[in-house]
Formats: sequence, C-alpha cells, structure tokens
Amino acid sequence: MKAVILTAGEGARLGSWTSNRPKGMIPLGNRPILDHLVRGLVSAGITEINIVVGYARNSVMSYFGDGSSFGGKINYCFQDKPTGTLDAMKIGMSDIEDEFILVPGDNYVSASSFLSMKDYDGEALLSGQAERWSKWGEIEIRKGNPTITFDNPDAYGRIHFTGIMKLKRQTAEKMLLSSGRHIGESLQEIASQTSFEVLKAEYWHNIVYPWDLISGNRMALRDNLLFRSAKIEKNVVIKGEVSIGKGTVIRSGSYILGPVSIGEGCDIGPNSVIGSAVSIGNNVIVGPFSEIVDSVVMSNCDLGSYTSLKGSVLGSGVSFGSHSIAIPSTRNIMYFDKEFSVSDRGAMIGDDCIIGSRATLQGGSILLSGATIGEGEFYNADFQGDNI
Amino acid sequence: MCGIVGYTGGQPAQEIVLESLKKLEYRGYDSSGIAMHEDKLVIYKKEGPIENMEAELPKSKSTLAIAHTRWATHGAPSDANAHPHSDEEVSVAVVHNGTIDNYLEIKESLEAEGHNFKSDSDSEILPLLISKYYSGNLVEAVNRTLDDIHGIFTIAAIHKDNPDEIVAVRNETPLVVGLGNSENFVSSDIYAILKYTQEIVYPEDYQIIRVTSDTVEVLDRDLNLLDYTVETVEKYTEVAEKGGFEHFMLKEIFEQPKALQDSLNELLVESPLERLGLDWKIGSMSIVACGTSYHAGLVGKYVIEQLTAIPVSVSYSSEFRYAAPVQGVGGLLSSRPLVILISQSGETADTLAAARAAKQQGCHTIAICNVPGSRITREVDGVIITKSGQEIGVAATKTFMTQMQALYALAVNLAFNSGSLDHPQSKLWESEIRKIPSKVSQVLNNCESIRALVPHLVKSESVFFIGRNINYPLALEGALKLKEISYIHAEGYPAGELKHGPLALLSKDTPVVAIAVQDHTYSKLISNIEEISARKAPVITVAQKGDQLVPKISDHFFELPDIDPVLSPFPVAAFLQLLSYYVADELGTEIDKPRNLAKSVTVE
Repeated sequence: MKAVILTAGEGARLGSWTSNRPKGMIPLGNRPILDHLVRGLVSAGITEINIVVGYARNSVMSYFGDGSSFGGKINYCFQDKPTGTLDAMKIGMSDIEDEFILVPGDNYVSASSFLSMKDYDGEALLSGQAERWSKWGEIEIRKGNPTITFDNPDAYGRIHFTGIMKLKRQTAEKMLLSSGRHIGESLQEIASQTSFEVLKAEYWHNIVYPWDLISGNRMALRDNLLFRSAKIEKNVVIKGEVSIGKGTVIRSGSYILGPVSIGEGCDIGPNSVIGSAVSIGNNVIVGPFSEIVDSVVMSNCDLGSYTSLKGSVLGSGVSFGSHSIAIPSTRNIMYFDKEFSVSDRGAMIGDDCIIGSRATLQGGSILLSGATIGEGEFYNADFQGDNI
Repeated sequence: MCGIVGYTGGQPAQEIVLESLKKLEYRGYDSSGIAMHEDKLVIYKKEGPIENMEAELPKSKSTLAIAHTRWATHGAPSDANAHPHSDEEVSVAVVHNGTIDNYLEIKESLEAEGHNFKSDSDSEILPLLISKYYSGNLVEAVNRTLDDIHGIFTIAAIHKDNPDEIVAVRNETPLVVGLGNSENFVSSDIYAILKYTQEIVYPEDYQIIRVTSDTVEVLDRDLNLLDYTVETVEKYTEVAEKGGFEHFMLKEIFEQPKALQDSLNELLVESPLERLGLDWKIGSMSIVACGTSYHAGLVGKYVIEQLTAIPVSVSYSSEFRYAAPVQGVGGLLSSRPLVILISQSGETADTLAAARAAKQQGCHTIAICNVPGSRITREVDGVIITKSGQEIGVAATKTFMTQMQALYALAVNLAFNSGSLDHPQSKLWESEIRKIPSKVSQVLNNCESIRALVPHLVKSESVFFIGRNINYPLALEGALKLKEISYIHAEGYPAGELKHGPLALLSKDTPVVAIAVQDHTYSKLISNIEEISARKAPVITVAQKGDQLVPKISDHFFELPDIDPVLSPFPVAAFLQLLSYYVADELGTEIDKPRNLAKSVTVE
C-alpha cells in the first residue's frame, strides 16, 4: 500500500519559522515533522510514499532524496499553486490504483497509528484527542456513521479528526467532485455515504500554531533516536533518554535530564541545566549558568550566560543575550484575530531574531522572524507583527 | 579519464557492473562497453551514454565482467574506439583508463608482426600484447606487457580460459579493490562499489592485482605475493539518484547547507594544526589547484592574508608543476614554505604532480580533498577531508563551498596560532563560520527570484562577471559556471580592470553581473557599475541586505542575507550557481554532462 503526504502549503500561522522551510521541515524532537511521518510509515511497512511538495520544495527533496536512506521509496508530486488540500490529494494520488493512506504533513503521529490503519480492512479515519481545536474538524458518530463537524471550536476532550485517513481510490474521486477546496469540507459532504471506521491514534499532535511546537516537541521526544558521540567533560550528569550529536561539547558541571536531543557541533555550559523535554539543533551555543526546560531551540542559535528558557521556541539563528529570560505567565493572547489561552508557554521567537541582554519576554509572546528586542527591555506584545 | 569496473563472484555480473558503471559516468560519457564470459568472451560496446550500450545488451548469466565508460583522448568517440578492446581471436578483453605514451611505436611493431588494428585507440595494443605473451597465466602475461609500455594507466583484463579471474594494475591513475562475500570488485573509485562492500584495498603503482571470487592477491613485479591492508570505509548512505530534482547539479546545489554542516564537524576539532603538522611559523604559502578548486584557492588567499598577514600565492597546478623552483616568498629557509593542494577527487593528474614537485622542493604539503583514501591523501603531509559526499554533476558546486570553508577554518586557526587573532576574536570567527550553512539556505530558498533573472541573460552571446577583493574570485567562478553548463561565453574580471580593455566589448547586448558587498571596495565598485551603465550594458547586481544605492543604479538586483562581507563568498556562490543553472535549464543544455568535459581530470 502507498501513502500520500501533503506538504505543499506555506503554513501562514507558523510564518515566523517558515521563511526558510515549509512547515513540514520545522524540527520537533530535533527532526523535521516530515521525518517522523516518513519513518513512521516505513516502520509500519508502508514504503512507497508520494510527497506532494510546493512551497520551498527543494528543502524537502534535498532532505529525503529518493527515500532509500530512510528505507522507503519516495516519489515527489508538484503542486505549484496553493489550490487547496483537495487538489493536493488529487495531484498526489495520480499513480494510485487501489487504496492509500492520506497524511497531511502538519501532524505529528506515532508509527503505531500507521500500522493500525494499514492492518484495518476497509476505509478509516484516524482520530485523536487534542487540547485544542483541530483544523480538520471534530468527529461525531451519528447512527453508526461518523460525520465531521466544525461546530464546536473549543471542543476540548472531544474526538478530533487528524486529517489522516485510509481511502479507496473511488472514495477519493467522490471527494474530488465535492464543492469545497479542502479535505475536511468534502468529507463533511461524503462521510454519511461511506462506511468509515474511526481508529484512534495513540499519540497525535496537530501542528498549526506556534504553541503546538512546544507540546509537539514533548510528544516527538518519545521516539528520540538515541545516539551519543559528544565530548562530555568531567562532572556532567546525564539522566534519562538523551541523544547528543557529533562534535558537541558538554562542559563541566552541566546537568541534562532526558528526554533531550542535542544536535551536532553544539557547545553547552559549563554549569548549565538542560531538560527535560528539550530539543537543541546543530551549532547551538548555550552559555554558562543557563537553564533550558521544555523548549525547542533550532539550529545556529547563540544563547548567552545566565539565560532562562521555559516552554519556549527559538527559531534558527536566534541570538539570545545574557541574563535574558522567557518563561510562562498566565494570560490570554490574540493571534490571527482569535483569543487563545496559553498559560504554560514562554516566548515563541521566530528565525533570526536578536534578543539583547537582560531582556524579559513575557509568557505567550510571539516574535516575527528577524525581530529585535533591545537590551534590558520588557516585551509583552501578544500579537504578531507587533514587534516592539 | 574514463571509468572502469570489474566483478567476479557468484551472481550474474552484468547488472552489478552496469549499476556501478553508471556511478562512474562522471569520469567520461563518450562511449561505454562491457566484456563477459559465456564459455567464450563476449563484448558489447557503443558510442554515447551507457543507456545506448545497455539497450543492445542481451541478458547474460556470466558471473565475470569488466566494463568501461570513456572520455576520448586517442581516437574520436565511436563504437570501434570504445572499450573493452580485444585481440583478433577475442581471447583477452581489456579496459584501460589513461594514456600509453609509446603506443605508436608498439603499434608499428605489432603491425609488422601481422596484426590488424580495429580502432584508433592507444589501448588496443594492450590485449594484443597480453595475448602475445600469454602462455596459460594471465598475471605473467600482464606483467610482461608492463615491461613494454610507458604512460599512465589503470588496466583490467580477463581471459577466455578462466571464467573467475580479473587481473588489474595501475600507474598514476586510480584503482581500488573491493572485497565482498564470495565476490570481489575492481573499480576506479570507491563510490561505484560501496553499495556492495565497504572493505577496500588501495593498491600501489605497479602492484599486480589478481582477483577471483574468493581471493584477492597483490603481487610485485617479480610476482611475489605481498601483504596488503584492508581498510573499512564509512558506509555511504546518500544515493546517486536525483530524488525529485531535475538534475544532479540542482540537487547538489541544494545539498550545500548539509555538506557545509557535515564538514564543519571535521574542521572545528581541537588542535587542528597539530593534526596537520602545521604548528610552526609559516613564512609563505602557495595554494595550488585547477578549475573551480583554483577559485576556492583564490578566495582562500584573501581570507588567509587578511587574518594572518602571511603572503599567499595561488597557482594553477598545470603551471606550478613546471615552474622553476624559487625561494619561498618568506625568503628564509628556516621557515619552510607551505603548499596547499586542492582537488575534489584527489586524483587530478596535474595537482598530484604539483604535490610531488612541492615535496621534492622541501615544502610542507596539505591537501584539501573530498574523497577519503584517494591518491593525493596518500602522498601529502596533512589532509583536510571535506564532507560533501559524492558530487555527480560535472560542474562543481558543493565541493567549492566546502573547500572555501576549509580554507576559512584554516585561516582562523593559523591566525590564532600566530597571535594575530586573540582567543575571543577567534571564537567570534568560529561562530560566524557556524552560521554559513543557514546563510546559504536563505539564498537557496530565494531561488525563484534568481530564476526571474534568467530572461536578462539567456539570449546573450556574452556575459561579464565583475567583483572586487574577496569577491573577485567569485566573478571568475560565476563566469566559469555559466560557460561550462550553458555554453554562453562568459568572462570574470576584477571590476577595476574593465576599463583596461573589456569595456570595449560592452553594449546593450552584453549583460554584466556585478558583486557589490559593503567592504572597503564598495564605493569603487559602485563607480564601476556607473561606468558600465553609461555604456548601456544591463547590470545585474548582487548586493547585501539593506543596500539602498544598488537598486537605484542597477537594472536588476538580488539581495543577499545579512552577512559580514568577508563571509559573503558563500551566499554569492550559491546565487551564481543557481543563476547559471537556471540559464542552462532554460536553454535545455545537458547540465550534468556538459559536452567535452569530465569530472575527474586524470590526464594532463
């Protein structure tokens, strides 16, 4: 059986991290979201994968190549214009004759879900539980048949549709005839005429908003690829599942509590605390006496001494000055004209931002890529575009 | 230059050998051929790419095969001149990479003995000689043949009497032996056979190699068995497939951030200079290379001189090796001159010869090379390996980037060692070097705006590239990339030199690509652009982020990411590569295999 991964869109709501990559290439647990999906599919025995690429396609193609180093066979399909997810599916299924698994590229999902979808004899929708609204809608089961609704945007604890499904070609063709441009809309129209089973995902996280990167990272570190080839100085404590890449140096007195994934060529400490639930990309410098907890630090960041990060995201190439802090505080923020409660989040900092020393970023702050915060400033803007 | 591969073992050889041969196509692609053993020897060969030959090939069960892909030196590309060659009775088949200097002499004497030649190739004398000396032992016949021939060569031969034996020998040109499980390989490089084995033997010149399914023997010229070491090379996972990209060159351009990242870990190690044997006071330095590597060397000159104040001269290998030995620029014999040799393949004939000449003159030699275990790495005093992975497109892209990166890292280390950079400064430089991969990514992600410049170049018969200071070599590289893949005539110039001649060639039909970064030469470059515009030549300028002036005075412009001018060659290179690529793509040329060129230049 084949799979079709959709990753042609730009991901506007994650725009601070997508100027250099499509959304699917944002790292969670130190690997691109798509890396988790491809490896998950391959380990479930689904090795033939069509990836529909569009925005920043080259970064996807140069990462995966023909798929052989991931144990699969990847074929690329091109969606040149943003004509919607339904059209993307049409482009991706052109060479598929029978059934296939459709995977929108903005999900983190564990490999076990792919296995249960593959093994199920018939058509199926994958559901999951989420803290927040899923863009794919909610699944309600009426008279035995599942239906998709978008009526309860705050549907906490309900069954959400993940956008992942197993389809027969005929059903997919029916969806293409529907009036909408998106998969959720067309499913709303045809779900009642088709007998879908609803399967439940073991671990699933929809990656749509900046704060999803933090909780998505926590989840993705569950399948931390374990490797350790760093130089560890004396008196370093490492506990739990910790992977550290080539050329990295962990300096004396540092304390690392897994799950943590640290990339190649980093320089950590001395006397810094990392973890738990932290991903650090390649070539990151973490100065002495810093503490990083529950955060994503992407490649090429430079953190000064005495920095404190909790529940935060640092995009690639961020410079974060000495004595600066980004830790959670309780408040609601506005994002894309909607109000969100993000009480457990620190700052979400876009690529290439420069944060001066002794700066304080209030919980829930979101910074567009390339923004600058001056020395000693207090920043609490909660609305994208409002950089200082 | 040519590529050779051979297999003997338990499996049908044809498929294995063809797959390996395709990975050697970068060494030449004029014609190709294969010889197999089906009770007798059978040979198929064809002009053109390997697919032409493959199309005519019947399935064979032979478990022995040798094959060849050719880059013509003696005799035009044709079916007859393609390898393998054989004697009249087809008892011996031979593939050959290199040139036999005294072949005319031998050919005449063989003709006098009544032999008829079927081709114009110098290689055809080899099967005739081997067959003449053959009396039941192929090793002896090859050894006897070696007495007669002069030149550079890798030869692999099979005989109809033995369906499980390949005899191979090299002089100067590459040969590796791969050890499998009840199967063994010979090949021009490791990449062609890495899929099957990582156990590699690197034979020395004039060692005779006898390979069967179960044994590999290395013999000297007196036919004594020699001990040999088997080296295990790193498993190479990156595959030679295009993976969605239209050309290898485009794929390789987009692999550059990864190549830079991978190489970085090799460069920023502790005490790198000790490892290279460089912890002494260097008085002067020469960088020696060919083609694109030479341009990387020129960039290296600027950065090394700026950081260390050690004088650096840069030479083409083909000139350096024949130059008269002069006292190092430093003048003092106590400060031994350093020679840095740059070769992607590590097999470039002229660069190898230059390395030997330098050693002979008492210089300390360092090689920057992309192929571990290659020839040059075995001959010099210190080696910096770039981790670009295999580069298949003939036009060098990712290896250029990693060569520059290696020179920058070396410059910083030398400067720290000599005291011209203190510890905080050198740390700052290191962190700047770490940022290069992401700066290159930013240019690559902007590829659509580079493609939009194509209409301004594609109809031109001639294009000029100009730059100053550290970006002058980039002007040369931009011109080289454009001409080699698009066949548009292009010249790179230091911007200040235009008015000493080339300005006479400018008109509204000769676009100029200008590199304008804000270093101490910026204002001069701006005046040069004005001079060009006054002659109505269209100007495409690549400038730094936030430059207000350039958009006003240029017809078209491209914005680089925010970067220190000294590090600008990296994003500028990415820009120039993509520009050339898109122009060539629009013109529909054979981008990965430009006419008349081959990647690894093992002839002089």
